[in-house]
Amino acid sequence: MAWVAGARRKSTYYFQDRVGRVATVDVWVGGGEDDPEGGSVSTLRAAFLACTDAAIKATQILAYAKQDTTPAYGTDAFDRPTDKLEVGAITAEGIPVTMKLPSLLAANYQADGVTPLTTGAAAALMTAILENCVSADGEPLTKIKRARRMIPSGLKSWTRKA
Amino acid sequence: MSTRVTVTFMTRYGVGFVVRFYVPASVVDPTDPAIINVVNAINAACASKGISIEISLAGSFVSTAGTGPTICEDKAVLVVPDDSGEVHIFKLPAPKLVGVGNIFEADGTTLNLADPNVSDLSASLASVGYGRSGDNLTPIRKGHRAGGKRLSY
Repeated sequence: MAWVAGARRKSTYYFQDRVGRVATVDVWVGGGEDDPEGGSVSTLRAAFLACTDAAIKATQILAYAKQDTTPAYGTDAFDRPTDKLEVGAITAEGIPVTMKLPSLLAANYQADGVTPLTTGAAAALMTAILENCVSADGEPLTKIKRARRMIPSGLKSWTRKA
Repeated sequence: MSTRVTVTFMTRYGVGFVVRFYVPASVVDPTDPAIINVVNAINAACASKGISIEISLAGSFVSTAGTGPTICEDKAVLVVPDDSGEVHIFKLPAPKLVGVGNIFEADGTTLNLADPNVSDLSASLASVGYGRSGDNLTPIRKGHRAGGKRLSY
C-alpha cells in the first residue's frame, strides 16, 4: 500500500460582489501548484478580475492523495464508525485544540475502556500528534491535556459494544 | 497560518468518516511526512484505516468589488472544451456589463470573444487550466449571460 498524490489540484476562487454576496468558481490546475497566492492561481485570479465586477478576496488550493490499494480493515470491539476518541491538546499560549479520531483498539485502553494507555500504539499516536500537528493559527501543540473514548449512544456496555 | 488536513477513514462496515487536523503552513503536499506520520499512527492504533487525504491551502487578497450593475447571481456562462473534447462550463459571477470592460457583445447577452479581457481569460484557462478528467483546457468556445435580474443595459 502506498499513498499516491493526485496529478491535478483544484483551485477555488471566492467572488464577493458589491452587496456582499459570495460565489465560487473552481478550476483544476497542475499538480505542482502549491501557492494559493501565486503561480497559476494568481494568473487565473487576475484574468477573472478583469472580467468581473466582483472582488476576489480569497483563493484556495485543494490537493489530494489516496491509497493505491484497499487497506485491510481491522476487527475490534471498538471498530464502528461511531466509536471515536477525543483528544484535547493545548498550545504554548494555552489555546485548546480538539481532535476527533477513530476509536483506538480496545487493547489500547485502560481497564475503564475510555482512557487510552500511556504506552504502545496509543502513546505513539499522541507523540505523532504533538510532533506534527498545530493549531488552526499555526501554533505548535505542546501538551496532550486529555484523551478519552466517546461512548456511542445506545451501548449496553461502557467497555464493549452491545 | 496552517494547512488544513482532511483524512477519510474507512471501517470494515464500508462506512467512512473524516478526521480533520492542522499541520504547519509549510506543508503543501498531501503525502508530506508530517501528515503521513499522523495517519500511520492512527492506522496502527485503530481498526479503521485512512484511504484518502485532502489538504487545503488558503490564500487571501485585498480586493474591492466594482460598482457595476451586476451581482454574483448574474453569470457569464463560459463553454470551455478540453483536449479530449469534453465540455466544461464555468459560471463567472458578476460579469462586467457596461462601460469599460464590458465583456458582452452589443446584444448584452453573447460573450464577446474578441474582447481583450475575455481573450486573456481564455488564454489563461488554456495555458494553466485542466478539466475534471485532467485534460488541458482549450480556449473558450462561446459564452452567454445568464441568471440574475434582467438589466436594461
